[in-house]
Amino acid sequence: MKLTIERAALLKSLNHVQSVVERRNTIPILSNVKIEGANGRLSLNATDMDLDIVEAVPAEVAQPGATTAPAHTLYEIIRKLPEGSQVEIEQSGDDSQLVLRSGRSRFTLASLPVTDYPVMSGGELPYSFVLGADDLKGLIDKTRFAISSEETRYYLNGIYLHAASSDGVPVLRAVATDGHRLARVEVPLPEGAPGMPGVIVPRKTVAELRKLLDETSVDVTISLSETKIRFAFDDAVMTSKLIDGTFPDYERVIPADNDKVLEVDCKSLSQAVDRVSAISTEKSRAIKLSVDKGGLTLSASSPENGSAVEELEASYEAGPMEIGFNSRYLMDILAQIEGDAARFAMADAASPTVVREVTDSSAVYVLMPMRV
Amino acid sequence: MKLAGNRIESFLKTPDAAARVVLVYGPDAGLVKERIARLTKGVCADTNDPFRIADLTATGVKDDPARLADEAAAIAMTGGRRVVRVHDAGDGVSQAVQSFLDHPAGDALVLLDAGELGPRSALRKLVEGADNAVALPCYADEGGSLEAVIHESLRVQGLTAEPDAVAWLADHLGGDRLLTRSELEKLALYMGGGGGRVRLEDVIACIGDTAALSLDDLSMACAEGDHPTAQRVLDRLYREGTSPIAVLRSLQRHFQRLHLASGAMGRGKSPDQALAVLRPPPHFRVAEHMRGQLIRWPAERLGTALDLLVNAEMDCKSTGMPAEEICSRTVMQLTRAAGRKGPAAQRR
Repeated sequence: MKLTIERAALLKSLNHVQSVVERRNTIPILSNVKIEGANGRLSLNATDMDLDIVEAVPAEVAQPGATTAPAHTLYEIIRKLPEGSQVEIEQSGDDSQLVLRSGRSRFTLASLPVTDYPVMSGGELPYSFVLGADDLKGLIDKTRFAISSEETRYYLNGIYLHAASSDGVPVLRAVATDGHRLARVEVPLPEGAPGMPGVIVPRKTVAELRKLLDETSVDVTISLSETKIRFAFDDAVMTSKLIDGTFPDYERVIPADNDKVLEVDCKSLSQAVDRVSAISTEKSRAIKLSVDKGGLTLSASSPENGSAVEELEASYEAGPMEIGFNSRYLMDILAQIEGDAARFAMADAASPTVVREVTDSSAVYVLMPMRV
Repeated sequence: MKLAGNRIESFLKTPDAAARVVLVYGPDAGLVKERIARLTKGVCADTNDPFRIADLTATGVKDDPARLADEAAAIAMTGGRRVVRVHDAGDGVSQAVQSFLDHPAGDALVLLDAGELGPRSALRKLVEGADNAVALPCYADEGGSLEAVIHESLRVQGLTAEPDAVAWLADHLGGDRLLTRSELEKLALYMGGGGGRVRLEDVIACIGDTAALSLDDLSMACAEGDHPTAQRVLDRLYREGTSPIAVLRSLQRHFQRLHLASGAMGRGKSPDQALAVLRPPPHFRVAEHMRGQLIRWPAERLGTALDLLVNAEMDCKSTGMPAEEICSRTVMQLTRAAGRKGPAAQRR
């Protein structure tokens, strides 16, 4: 195999695929990226056996072929080459070495046989639909903060993607929860999605996909079965195993009749929460919201540090109430709200609070209070 | 506060509502796990409920002490009381636990599971000294308590056992409560599930030897002249890959401690006072055995035993003879010597 490629193009693709490769691997071949040159294109493939990504870039292929090379080392080398340089990758008869040349630099990397590289077959993916990149970004961005990081609750370690109905309108819904907060976001159900099974997309896949989406605005083709999902766009194809578990019945924790409604400027509230919680973060992140017709008062206290109080203007018509929240969770939710105002629908100090953007009902957040 | 004996069982049946933190610790990891599961179930029937049970690691709590208090003060999305479990707890979480016990917000039950914690452990002292916390020590089942576990587990399966079968089971089980239970479940399966009476042949046919046999057990057996146990432990240690040198060193340490205590007795101290001289002091269960060993082994014979052990180590390292054989022979010599009681014992 012999090919030449521009450094910037190689670096961009390599950056996408190398992050899939785990830093520590017990199986040596999984530390490598598969490099394949054919038909004027260089294809890079990385996998951790659960997630597989293939990305292709144009290259001058003098001699087609395939090999593997250590992903992180290769990435570091390419990153350190001067901008605008051309990179020549060559593997001659001996398939245990890969030679990389650029300008006056020459690197020899140990490679492993390409025949040992695991192939992740997608299998049959009976459901396929197309989603705009911005819609997919929205589904991910507004829910990923609520993904549980508790390994024992593996079925909460991802985003639950499924077809649902919202007031009779079919929607594609993304849900994530860690038991303290829940995020539910929906977009109109794309053609091809009706009947799809509910699937839980793992956190690592979500993170890698989001990185790829940063640089694109084209439509993404999503194909899935009950066990695998594939995202294809531009020159990248990402295939991932799904979490084999049952997502809890989340609907029952979203209250429909919370009647104490508070509307408040989102940015002001977020900044105030950040200031007031500074007093209590060492031993507890609890913050108290006291609401009355006059507005909203935030307070926090710590036996060692003292106390903090801040008042905010807010629209509220129901009777006075006090409710405690974890300040970090509250700020996480406020950070998702893009509009100016947030609407809090509450029942009492011990029941779930529903938070929405005042002008957009596609995203719903549920925040559990805490005792203060 | 610390609970022991029957009070542990009563607490597990009806936990004191005032106890916000329960520390379950001890060398029997299976028993720790079983008690944590019972306490969890007492609060939340579904022990996998993601909304009512939070599992934290000790490292996580140590790095972010607010996490414990926040999880305990959280309200479950689906309603009901919550359980916050901290796994592999140690002294590193004491600060967070102290802070929580000082200001216990919410109503969640905090369960800390830990391995063996010494009496000087900050976490153990903290929990034992707090009014709103309880410490439950978990020692390996033996004697009467092990027999009770055997009878109870068999009864649940509709089985009874002949006395020699129970004695054999008690001899070979007990290192870990969960392992004991799983072996007894295996026995029930072997019996065919239709109830009945377990005989010695049935037990021998299907039960493995799960008791935790360690270097300390070997030292005890050697010093007490219990040759069959010493040989059994030694065989197991070899199978597990323990080197003969490690075995000899462990025996040397034990006989050195006996020698030191025996010297103190020679200066007029009682066996209890002599054992108190040792650093670290022996565990109370071990101390019981060591009192008997001090009577069995006068100081001069302990000196001879130490010479024997040092020579055996030298032989292992210099003669080229099989080290395992040298070690086994030394163990046999020691157990035989222990069989000859010292003058103090002979006078009694």
